[in-house]
Amino acid sequence: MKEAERAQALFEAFADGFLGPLLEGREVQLTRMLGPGLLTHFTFAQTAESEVDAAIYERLHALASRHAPVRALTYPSRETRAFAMALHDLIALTDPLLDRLFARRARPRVVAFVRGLLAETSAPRTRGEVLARHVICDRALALKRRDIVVTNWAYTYRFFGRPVPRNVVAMPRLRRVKQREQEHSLLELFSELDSEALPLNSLLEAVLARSPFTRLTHFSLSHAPLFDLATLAMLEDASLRQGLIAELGPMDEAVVMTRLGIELWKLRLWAHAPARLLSAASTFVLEMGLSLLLRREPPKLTGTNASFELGLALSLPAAAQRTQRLWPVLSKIDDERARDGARKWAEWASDVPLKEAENILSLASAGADLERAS
Amino acid sequence: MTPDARGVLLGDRGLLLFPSLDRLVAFLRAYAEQDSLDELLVSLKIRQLVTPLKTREAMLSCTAESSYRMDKLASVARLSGGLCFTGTSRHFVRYRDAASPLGYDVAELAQEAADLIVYDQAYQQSYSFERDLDLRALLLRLDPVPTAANRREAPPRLFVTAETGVGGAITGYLFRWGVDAKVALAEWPPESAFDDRGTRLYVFDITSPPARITTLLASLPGVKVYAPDGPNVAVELGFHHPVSLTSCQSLFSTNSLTLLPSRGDARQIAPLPAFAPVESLVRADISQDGKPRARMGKPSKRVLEAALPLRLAPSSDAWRNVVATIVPSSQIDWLARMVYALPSDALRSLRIAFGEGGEVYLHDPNGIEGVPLGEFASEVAPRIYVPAGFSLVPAVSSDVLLGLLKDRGDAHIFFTHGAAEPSRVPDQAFREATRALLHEISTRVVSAAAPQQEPPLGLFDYAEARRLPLFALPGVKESASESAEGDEAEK
Repeated sequence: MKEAERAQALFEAFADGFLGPLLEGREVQLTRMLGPGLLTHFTFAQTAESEVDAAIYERLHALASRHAPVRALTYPSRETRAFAMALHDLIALTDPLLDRLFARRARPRVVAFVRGLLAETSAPRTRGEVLARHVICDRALALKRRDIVVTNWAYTYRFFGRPVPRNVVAMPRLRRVKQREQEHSLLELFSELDSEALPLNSLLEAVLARSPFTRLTHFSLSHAPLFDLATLAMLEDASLRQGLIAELGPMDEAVVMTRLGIELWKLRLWAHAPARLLSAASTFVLEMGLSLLLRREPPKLTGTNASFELGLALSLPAAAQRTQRLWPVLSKIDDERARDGARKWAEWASDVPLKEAENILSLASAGADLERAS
Repeated sequence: MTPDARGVLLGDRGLLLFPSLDRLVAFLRAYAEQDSLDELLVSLKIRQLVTPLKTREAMLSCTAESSYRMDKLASVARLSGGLCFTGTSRHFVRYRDAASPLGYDVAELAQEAADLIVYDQAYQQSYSFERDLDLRALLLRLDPVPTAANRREAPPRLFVTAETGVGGAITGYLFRWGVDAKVALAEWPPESAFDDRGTRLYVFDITSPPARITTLLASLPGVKVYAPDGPNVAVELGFHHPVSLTSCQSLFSTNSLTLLPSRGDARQIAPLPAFAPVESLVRADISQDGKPRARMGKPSKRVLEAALPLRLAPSSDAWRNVVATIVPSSQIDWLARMVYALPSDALRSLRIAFGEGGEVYLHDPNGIEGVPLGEFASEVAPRIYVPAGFSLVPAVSSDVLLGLLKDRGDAHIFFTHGAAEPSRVPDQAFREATRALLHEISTRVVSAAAPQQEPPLGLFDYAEARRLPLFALPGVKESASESAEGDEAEK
């Protein structure tokens, strides 16, 4: 078989077995490792059955539209395919059969594959790119592996993430066959298998850096700064901010606001932080706080430890009212409840965070105006 | 060869190559089922080819236009045993396939003296043109095939050809039964010098033919019945052409009619002769003595005045248009029970009105036989009813009856026994029986949640286990040590 035919066969298996079922919620079948050398072929390739590509696109569009209105997704694009291939290889790295005598030396090369593919993926620049990557990444992170242990009267067989052959479970009564099933989520596998030779968590961090929406919605997985230049384009998009708020809304308010406060404070301490980024990030934290205040039952924070960072995040609405900064956000909200709630939060957080919040807002709005004017 | 917007290599024309003519016909059949052949006809060429070793093949070529058209042509051609090429002038290369999604090109053009040269991955082949084939002639050479019994439908229009001996009789028959039909006489020249004269046939164009007349005509010797397959072409009833003719209507000119019998040659009538309604051709009696039949009368000076009442009289005629019934008040309970037993079709069109005397008027334009209650009434004129089995005397026509009841508006008039005057029920009094008879339905709130829309996320399975996971992987350069291990493993 020629090189091009083998590459096309791999692409068919990737699209039909991995990407399609991943988006449709069916059982996902991984294929062979996908190196960066395949990327050019994968960028232009189409499946033999045109319905597969069309179904992937439709499903991608439908899932992306749940977070924000999307008019046109740029799919298939080189970067989205590289991102999906990197995710595929990252999942395949958890295969226990890679830890065998001859297979073991493939691991560092597959790690290099993932890094190489991610190097081909830059920060997303459009709403469609942000959401396409988020949809793929978010569903991939929710995958599970089924581990089956089959015992008969003489032997024990283990099938981790592979179907059980028929002959192993044939004649169950005669051979006294028993099966035990267990499911492990992908994130459990990552934390369990992470080691110096197999840096799964650092690879996951690198993947999340290319999908800022997923990184914000799964903020507990990432230790790197959440607000960086890769997130700038996303945070400046009002629809994406609303999509993020809708995703973060059901989570524990204190945890979310504490992490957002920490990230805002990191940005404030970053000497070279662009003012536009500071403005976009504080607008996002402010909108998040206002969405909590405008709920039917605003969260009560009694019993929560008043850390400085939580106080900073919660003081933003009151600081915005007092300084009249970021007025476009506030002008949307003229609700008495929001004003009362913001005041109560600021009282609860004490003066120091409020002062800092006011500083951040004035820096952000002044700097952003200046950048826009220039 | 230039790449189009999708990057696919395309020449000016597309070329489909078939090993034989029947494969080409199979392609036309398959393509016409899903797309219009008319779009291809502008640039279509069909030729028979011959190789230097005198093997005969068939080709079909048309302008390539876009890779979407070529994709469709290539997929149908592959299905019907053909190959797809694209190119310009006389050089054609293989069109794209799964192995090379952007197409193929050649490094060097062959210099052979040939009408056509095709280049594939493994070979190149030159051809000479043997002869051109006309698509219309090709289609007319194909015999219609019988239509399966379960797919036969009553056509809304028919063309019928009849020999001159029975043509007149059929004209009279169609006139007597009031069928909407037109007739023309078509003539064809003699086929050979041995025929003493040409063929003459009556051609009938029948609109909405009743099924029994269609069956009768189809069974008559000397008569053939054709169902239209497009505006200018018709195929014998019970058969259909192997290629969908509706997709290539531009082959048949507008001022002609092509008839395709199940056996024998197609008959073409061009230009179309004049069609005349059958009513105008039935025989009329004309007196020969030259005297006009109408006798001249003079107006009478005596004024005739009379006011005769209409009466009901028993009639031995069959019951017709029984569409209403009057249910007396004593039978209302029965009616209520009956409503529960009525089928949904009968209930849907049933309308009801309640009279002042407690009687109920039921009206169903599809026939009232489903409600066996009360006194049935036949509709003798629009919205005028007499008891079934009776007729009005004097036997006035419906026009006269309508004229006598000028002031009735939109009301329904019911003539009944024993009543001096007929009853008048306004049309607004009628309502749908189901709405009039049933109570409004009250609902009970049940708390329910929508089912989970998102399917549960799937599990994942690893790929097939390999001893050397990266061995012979495309796009990966193997290191020397691994390929050595691979060789050992293969040994």
